[in-house]
Amino acid sequence: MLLVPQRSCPRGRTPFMGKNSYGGQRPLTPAQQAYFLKLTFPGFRVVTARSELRCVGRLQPTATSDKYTVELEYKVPSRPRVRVLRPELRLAEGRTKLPHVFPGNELCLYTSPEWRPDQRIDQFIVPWISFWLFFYEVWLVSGEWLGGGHEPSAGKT
Amino acid sequence: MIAGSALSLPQSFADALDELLYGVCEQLQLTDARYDMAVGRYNTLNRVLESGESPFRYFRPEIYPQGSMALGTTVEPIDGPHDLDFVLQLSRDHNTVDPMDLIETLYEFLHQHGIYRSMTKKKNRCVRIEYADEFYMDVLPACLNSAVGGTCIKVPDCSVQGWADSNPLGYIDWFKRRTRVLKVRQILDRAAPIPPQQAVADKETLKLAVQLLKRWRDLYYAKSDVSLAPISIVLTTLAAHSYRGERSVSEALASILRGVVELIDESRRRGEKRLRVENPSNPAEDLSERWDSNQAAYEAFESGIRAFEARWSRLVVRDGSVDGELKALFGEPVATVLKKRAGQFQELRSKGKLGINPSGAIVTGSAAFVSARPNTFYGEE
Repeated sequence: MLLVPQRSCPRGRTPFMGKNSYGGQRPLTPAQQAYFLKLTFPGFRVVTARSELRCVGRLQPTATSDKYTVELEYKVPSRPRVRVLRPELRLAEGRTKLPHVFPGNELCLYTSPEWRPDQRIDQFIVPWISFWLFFYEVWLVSGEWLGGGHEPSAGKT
Repeated sequence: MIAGSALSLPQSFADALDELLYGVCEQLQLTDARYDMAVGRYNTLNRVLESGESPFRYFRPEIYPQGSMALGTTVEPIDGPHDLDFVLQLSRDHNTVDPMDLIETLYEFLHQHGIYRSMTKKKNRCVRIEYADEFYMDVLPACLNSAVGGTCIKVPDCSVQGWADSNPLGYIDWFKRRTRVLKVRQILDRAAPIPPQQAVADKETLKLAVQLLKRWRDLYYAKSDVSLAPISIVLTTLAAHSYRGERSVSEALASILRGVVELIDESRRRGEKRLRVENPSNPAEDLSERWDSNQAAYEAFESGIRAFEARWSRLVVRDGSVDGELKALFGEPVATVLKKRAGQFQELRSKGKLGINPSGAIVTGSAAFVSARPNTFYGEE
């Protein structure tokens, strides 16, 4: 059993973080995020450069699901951009666009402030990707998104 | 660690596939309401046939379910009526009864009866009661075949204006032996009750495999030509014959399909025009005789089974990504099962009871490596 550092870090914050100038906690550095990502998901490939991080990993939400290769790009302190590299995402019958995605089919995983840059990507973002993929598969066969969510322009399909 | 949660999240592909198939079988069962209605109608019919006004009352009639209701392999039809079969067996040797008189008497009695008047139709071997709500009850009149004895009976056959052999109780016994649950049949005392509907979790694997096979049949031939679809008793017999006692329903279905394809191949090697499916409880009866006069139906059966076998043998080793293929094979119940599970996930997730493991698999709290935080997927659906 791997040690999850989060135990001693309530609400996903690391103890060595101080307050930052905008009232929240100081953002985690890409190196810190990369450390935690590799710790929790040893199969992920993570590379960092000064203020950026790129991570590619494979997720299979259930044993009968597809295996997805996803890419996460993060530039502090903007939102992590998550895309599915393989297999190509498909559309449910009669639909013209994917649910809960930004332009470019980046997954819309949370609504601010559910994640902040001082919080760990491995603990917050990655589980949300798995759930997004799970609900996407159900959507694909049923046409229904059952994962809940926020709709900025309700009424559209 | 989710108290009272029925959610099961198998981590192996084989177990997870079976879990989905159990769900599909659950969807295929008669609903409890429909089942209770069938039992109620059966009981009413019983009372009518045993009543003082019944022409059969002095022949100590025994009424019992046969076919899928008795076997526990009913499948909700895709569209169209649900038909349930019953035997009305008289304690008389068939040599003392005229077969055409027998079926005519049954038809006339029900046709004159207050309850069934406008609902009765005479068919080749049975009298059909058609209920308004897509429900048929076929009553097969029968006499004993004393020369052979046992559970063998003779039934009127209008097409030959004479008797035909049958042995529904013998068949039920054989099928039950094939499920590996041998139960001593109780001596029929008047009407035999319809067996209570088993929950899918308690069902023998063979029954589940037969349900899936029948569902595939309904869907597959609905897309081409329904009239070419192999009949239930032929599929059920072939399945029970080829079943090797697997516990896993996906494996059972794989070995059944392989077995049926082998039987077809063997029959070809012997130079036969078609596979002969004998009634195991009465080898003289050829359950598949229809194929003699309908070569197209046999060809449709053969190509259908081969295609299903090829797809299924690929699916069971696929190690993921089965939803679309399952839906193509079994239809809407697959989407229903997946939606039901998604609903459970969503509920548990909102309570913080789910997480993921290092491969990204969603797991329940106690097994979670990373517990999932509440989130709201942003953007349009």
